[in-house]
Amino acid sequence: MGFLTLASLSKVYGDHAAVRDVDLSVAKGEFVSLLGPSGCGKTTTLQMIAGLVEPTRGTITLDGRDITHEKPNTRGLGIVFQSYALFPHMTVAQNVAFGLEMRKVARAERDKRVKTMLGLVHLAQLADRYPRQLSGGQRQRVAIARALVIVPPVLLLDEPLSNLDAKLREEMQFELRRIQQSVGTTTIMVTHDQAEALSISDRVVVMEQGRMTQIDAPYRLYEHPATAFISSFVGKMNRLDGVWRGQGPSGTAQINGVSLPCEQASFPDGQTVALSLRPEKILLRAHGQGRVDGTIVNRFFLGSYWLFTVETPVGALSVSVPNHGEEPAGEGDAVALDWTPASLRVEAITATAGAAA
Amino acid sequence: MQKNGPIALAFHTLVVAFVLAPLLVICLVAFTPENTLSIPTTSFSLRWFREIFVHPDFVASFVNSLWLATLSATIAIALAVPAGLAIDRYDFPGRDGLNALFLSPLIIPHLVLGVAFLRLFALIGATGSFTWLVVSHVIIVTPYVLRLVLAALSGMDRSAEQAAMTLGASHWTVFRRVTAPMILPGITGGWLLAFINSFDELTMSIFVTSPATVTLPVRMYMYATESIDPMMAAVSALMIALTAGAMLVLDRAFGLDKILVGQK
Amino acid sequence: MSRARSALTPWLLVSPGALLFLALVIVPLVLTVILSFHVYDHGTGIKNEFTLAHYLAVVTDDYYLGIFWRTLRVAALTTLLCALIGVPEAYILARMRDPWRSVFLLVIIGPLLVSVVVRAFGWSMLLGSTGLVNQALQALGFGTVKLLYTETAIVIALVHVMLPFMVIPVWTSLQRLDPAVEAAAWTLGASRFTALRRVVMPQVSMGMLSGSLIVFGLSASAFAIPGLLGGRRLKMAATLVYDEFMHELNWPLGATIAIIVLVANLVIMLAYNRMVEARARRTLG
Ligand SMILES: Nc1ncnc2c1ncn2[C@@H]1O[C@H](COP(=O)(O)OP(=O)(O)O)[C@@H](O)[C@H]1O
Ligand SMILES: [Mg+2]
Repeated sequence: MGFLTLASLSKVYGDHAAVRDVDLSVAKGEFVSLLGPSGCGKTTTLQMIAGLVEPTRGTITLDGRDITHEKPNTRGLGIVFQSYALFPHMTVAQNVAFGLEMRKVARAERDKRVKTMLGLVHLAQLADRYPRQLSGGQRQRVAIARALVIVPPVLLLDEPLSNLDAKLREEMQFELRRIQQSVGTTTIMVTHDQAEALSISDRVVVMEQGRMTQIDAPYRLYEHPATAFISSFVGKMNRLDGVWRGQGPSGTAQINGVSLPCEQASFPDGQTVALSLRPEKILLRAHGQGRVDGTIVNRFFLGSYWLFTVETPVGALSVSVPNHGEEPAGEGDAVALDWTPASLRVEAITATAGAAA
Repeated sequence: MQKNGPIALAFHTLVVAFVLAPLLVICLVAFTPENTLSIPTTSFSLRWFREIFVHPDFVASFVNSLWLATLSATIAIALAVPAGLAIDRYDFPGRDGLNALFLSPLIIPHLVLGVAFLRLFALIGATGSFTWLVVSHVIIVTPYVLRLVLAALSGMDRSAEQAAMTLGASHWTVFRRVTAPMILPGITGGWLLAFINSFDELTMSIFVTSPATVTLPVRMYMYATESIDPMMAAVSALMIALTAGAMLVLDRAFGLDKILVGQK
Repeated sequence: MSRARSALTPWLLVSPGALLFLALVIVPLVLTVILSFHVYDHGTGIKNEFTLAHYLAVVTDDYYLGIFWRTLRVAALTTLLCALIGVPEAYILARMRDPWRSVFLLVIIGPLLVSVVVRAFGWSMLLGSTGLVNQALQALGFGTVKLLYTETAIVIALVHVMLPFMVIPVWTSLQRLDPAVEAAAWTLGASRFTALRRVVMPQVSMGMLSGSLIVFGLSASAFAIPGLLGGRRLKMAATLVYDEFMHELNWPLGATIAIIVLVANLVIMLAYNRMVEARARRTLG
């Protein structure tokens, strides 16, 4: 039994199931991300945990206590809203103090805790500002401070970084993780940004159309995506359709008659299969010295690495190569591609698998 | 999001009933076959609607009001669109003062405007003139138009004008082909709002109309202070129907809340 | 050449309107102020002499003071009732879902476009001695109540006419309010009532204030409602001015009262602007 448990939690709006039979168990102190495209039911799930949306079915248990039907103002959870929802007519300090006031914490104690919390989020200097006088990143930290100061058993964050620009977003990811680790609060964060989810969570929960389709550590999620959708949603992925030639484990995957060395697998002869290969697992070799030959049709410089599109007899493949400081092959150059067999994943394409994708 | 509780809904029902009650009563009484103000219970009759046309003064006032509203709304557009352009697009000394002057009839009670116009018209010998009545209405409806024109101008994407300019259009062409079509909803909404406000205006008009130029609201007010019979209800019902029609058009086209926000 | 033209353009654009407004707003108002100082003689009419007598008369005579007092009382009561009804109603509307929200918003603010005379007439039918309200009272076993030609009738009808002016600004400020802000207060432990009081109210207070000012100003200068529902005896400032002009023909006295109404209105607006500025300065630090 986890610290926070969702059991077959569902929310139906009219005839549309926004969240269907979600089961999740979060351990104390864990940082879990809910990852999924817009509209997949992340916010609805979070708001059910917060008590702002009444579940249609299922239960929510916190530390052994059923809180499914408890009101939001008695659950005591800390929530950071996507819009931050700061009280515009209150200063930073007043915003942070609000939850303590509601808990009738004495003045002196309150001031002390607000001060400590503002120190933790590096906002001590701005205590008397109003929200509109703050930058996006500062507002976000006020929202976190306001949620954390009440020492909630669980911190819920709804796309806390989505309103920030790219650079700030990256900084705040690590800042968020730092704060969470120093307080040790169990945290659930909703995001549609896979990089964000992978970089700071202990575990990532992928949601598709109201369902949770994979719950795994970021590294495992990336290396072993459970569905075709996840493999394309998390990180970049080359996907090719092929056929399995030969019987069982002795066979190989083929595309247009070209055999492609792949991971250990076994399919009946003639089975159509989906092949996936991450761009960074492909190595660029001199022409004729790899597993397939090809021609570079596009080359993009992305700072820390180069991204190539290589046209090959099996199809166009994206290849990423770390930037070592020298200019690599250019557009039009003939090259060859190589990879370790284990990094080329093969899945059978069945009717159901096709529908899930 | 959050729903309204039963108490809130009960309160809401009472408010809606309060708001609609007098209008509903008018519309019902207008169809009474009786001679007294009573709600028809057994049969409906159009006799009081026919009765209106036996009163030529009501018909004359209606036509008069129609002309008055049409003219003043149109003139208000002709004044407010250029003024709005100047105020929104140019920075010139006295701009804020002029803007305040144009909007001042919203703050000055109509009673005071009525008195002031009466005094002016008496001094220049213009009492009872329809032309001057139109002018006085132009003054009170122009602010409504100007506000919508300003909102439309400041809300529109200036880059469309700049694009036209870079494509070689002259100032006048830019206005005619780009700006005007883009602020047209604001202008039309302003015209309708001006029309309605002029058509309904009583407090100021009662000071400056003469027997020959009596508007419909003034006629109705005079009539209602003397006697109350179901014909008043019939006239009122017609006005409600007219307003409801205009309102639906306004709401469909622009959103009534947007147009009426801050209206006085 | 081109520079000179572009400097002239705004002036050319505003001048027709500006000239008209100068001639027909500023000039008549100045004339009215002057008129209020003219000596009036019941036999010969307006004289070309000047006096403060009208202002003195208005502020000392019990008859006029009584009417001003009633005007203030009625306007204040109307404002209070509009706030008590309009603010919760705007909040309820804001929490409705479309299409109900748009429908009821239309129902609540739409009557604004119906002529005041029509609405006053509707109330006079409802409140008359044989009107619907009295019929209902009788049916319920209460006796009839005299409502028409009382201050109560005036206040009821004024609330009806003014309600949209309260709902609109409050609605506008509620629209600007992030609904998550109220939810945030709940999740921090605030009860529904506390969230309303501490988080929602402070933010609609400006809307409420501006609505109150509009309602008060319009009620204090309302003409049709007291004219039709107050009868001949129950006068308010506007009907008094009308009588002085049209029946007593004492224009200078009428002008005096009108000017007092205008000045009172402007003072209230100015005070409001001050308040808004002070608040803006406070929250902007
Ligand atoms: N109050 C509501 N009424 C009806 N449908 C809703 C409501 N809230 C959310 N939905 C629907 O539920 C689905 C999930 O929404 P949400 O949880 O907000 O998605 P996410 O946060 O993952 O983008 C969406 O299809 C959305 O349209
Ligand atoms: Mg969301």
